[in-house]
Amino acid sequence: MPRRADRPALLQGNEACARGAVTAGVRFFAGYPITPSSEIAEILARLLPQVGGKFIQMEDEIASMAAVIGASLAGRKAMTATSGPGFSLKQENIGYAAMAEVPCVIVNVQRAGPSTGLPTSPAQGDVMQARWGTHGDHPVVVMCPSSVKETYDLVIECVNWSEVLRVPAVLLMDEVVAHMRENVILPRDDDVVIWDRPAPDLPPGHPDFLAYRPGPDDVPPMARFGDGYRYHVTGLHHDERGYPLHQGSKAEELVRRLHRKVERRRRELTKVEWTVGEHSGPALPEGLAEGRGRGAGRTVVVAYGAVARSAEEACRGLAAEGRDVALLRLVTLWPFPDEACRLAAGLAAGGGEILVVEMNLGQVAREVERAVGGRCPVRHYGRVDGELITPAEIAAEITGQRGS
Amino acid sequence: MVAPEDGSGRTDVLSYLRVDRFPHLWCPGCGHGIVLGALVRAIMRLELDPRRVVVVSGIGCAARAAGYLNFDGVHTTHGRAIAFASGIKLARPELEVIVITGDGDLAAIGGNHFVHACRRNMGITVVCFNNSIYGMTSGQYSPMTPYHAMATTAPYGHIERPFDLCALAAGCGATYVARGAAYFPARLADYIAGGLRHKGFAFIEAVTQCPTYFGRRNKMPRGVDLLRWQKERAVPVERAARMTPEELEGKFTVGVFRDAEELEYTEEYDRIIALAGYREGGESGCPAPGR
Amino acid sequence: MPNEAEADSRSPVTEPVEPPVSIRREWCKACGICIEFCPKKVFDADEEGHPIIARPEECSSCQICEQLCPDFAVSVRRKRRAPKS
Repeated sequence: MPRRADRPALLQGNEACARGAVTAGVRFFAGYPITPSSEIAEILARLLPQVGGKFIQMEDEIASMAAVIGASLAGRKAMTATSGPGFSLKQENIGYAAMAEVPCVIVNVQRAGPSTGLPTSPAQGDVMQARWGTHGDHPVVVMCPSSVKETYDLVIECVNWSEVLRVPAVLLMDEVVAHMRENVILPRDDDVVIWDRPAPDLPPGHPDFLAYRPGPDDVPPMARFGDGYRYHVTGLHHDERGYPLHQGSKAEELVRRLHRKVERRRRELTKVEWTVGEHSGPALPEGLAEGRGRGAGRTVVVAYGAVARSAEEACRGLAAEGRDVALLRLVTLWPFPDEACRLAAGLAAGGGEILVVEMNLGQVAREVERAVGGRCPVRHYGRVDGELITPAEIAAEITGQRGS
Repeated sequence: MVAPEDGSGRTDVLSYLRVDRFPHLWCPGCGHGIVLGALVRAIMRLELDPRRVVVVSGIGCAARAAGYLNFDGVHTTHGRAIAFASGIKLARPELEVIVITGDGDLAAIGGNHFVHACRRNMGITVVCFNNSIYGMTSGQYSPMTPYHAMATTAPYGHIERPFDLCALAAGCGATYVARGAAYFPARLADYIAGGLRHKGFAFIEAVTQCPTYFGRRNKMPRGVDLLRWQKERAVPVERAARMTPEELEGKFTVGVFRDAEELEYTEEYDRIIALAGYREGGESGCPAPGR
Repeated sequence: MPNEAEADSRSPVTEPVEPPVSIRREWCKACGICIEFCPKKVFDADEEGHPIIARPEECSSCQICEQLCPDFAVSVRRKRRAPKS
């Protein structure tokens, strides 16, 4: 892979996703064509063999997910990409990856649903599916980019987290980000931090080797198939050897560990971006973070994905007019950024409100409500007509609420 | 593997199995253990490096065989074993990838993966433990349940016709296709060994018996009855060629139906990698995890 | 590894020579397949249906029982070939 210079490249979101995946070390992709994600497969069909990687278009999305898990067990960083209907089909095997702790990344370029819906139109209706789409209590990591550059960065994050936590990670894009073209400056490959899955300390054939004995971080080191460890992987509840078990208490122990390994890293995992006045960054500006009760009339907008761009423009415009507005952009959707939402509630307490803007009927708004626990009012503005919410709409929603 | 001193092969067979999990979960008289034994004997005969063998299975009674084999193994989701196996094989073509599947797992829920794997000709060996029924879920009809047989979901008799799995595989392009039966374990091991030796996609149907959920409902309540049925109905493919359709009524053919040399998928893909300008060889992009 | 001595101790064997076939009773599910298909009728069934090595001297070490046993409970030692003289 040629090292990219620090000069701008005009990239589409899906292209950034494909390139980021290669940079992250993805060397296996299995997919099935579906709008609006297909470019990711097309680009990786070209890029992967250039770096000695493998691409395959399988017979359906179920098979794609299965092949990705297989390749990951065989030691390759592996990814698939799809959209709503395909994401639905992949769910059973995503659950398998969660249970068997097989690293893999699933890109879901959201389009308007339900069902076949509006295949070429954007939506954000898969937030809950990304979290709870497969049956049973399973862990998952979900990240949501708002720009082409961030797509590149977050696909790398997803691969990294998936590898170190041995958990499926979902890059939840939307059609706008996927098909938008932006000038981006990609980092040099050497400047990108790459994480690998933890490897076993014990050599193959060691009598003490247990394939599913967790490390201190609750993540079991992962042996690669074909290296002589000769271990068993199953979607059944299993013991530390990987053998099926039927004992309820052991099963509960396993499920709790699967969650704990993600929860332990919650602080690093949950990324957000604040925009308040001129300030923009992962943390609130100094002084505001502790600020309480100064929020009379303040609106804190919560948004993510393409909608966050509209929200940012709306907020900057209103701030320039002297309005007290702030934007909390969610980058990580799961684990849900509860703490940031509580900070937002602090900003809005005492007469302000949180306005959640999203292209669905309130999937994140209800999570925000849960997180803020009544500290401030939470209002939702959404559309599900396949149209991106505009800055003007958001501004009107903010100002209209003031009774103008 | 060290050759057993008594020459019986016994020591070796068990050394390939996770005997700490025995007795296995299969019912008395179930043929799956016989087929598993044939598979192990085929692997032994070819002296495959056990560290390089990966067994992939789906869901069902047969699928549990993966857990009894002392190799790297994945017990996957229902119907998807071949798709998982395709990922493993394409990622690491040097591995010997064996799929163990049942007739429902393979031909119903996994049918789509099966036909496409036949077409792709990736070097995977699929052994289908065909017992004509869904055993794990206690006796519902499968795509291999014979016409007019009884099943819990066919209480008045089954009105669908079963697949001819070998004809299906060959028709879809599988380059090695064979059928054996549990009653003939030595020949079954021969067919499986042939599939393992074969470079492309190999499919071996092993006709086996489920006394508990198929036999009891169909007047053959013991494994012994069903094995006798196999003995009486099996016709070698060479002899079948000289028989009329009437003579073959109610019989099934055994033998190797196809053994053709065609380009194998992962080798084709290596050509793609070269075309794309990638120069280094070996397992690039897939470094061994650091220790 | 199957313990042949243990299997033998449970079988009412009267032969002074060790029979080539042995049964691992804890794995045996009494399906009757070895009893039915042994070409030399070496086995009888006990009251629970488990095989008894009734006629060990008849055993030709053909291994049909071993290969047909679904439970990996039967093992047969091959007879050593008599040295040519």
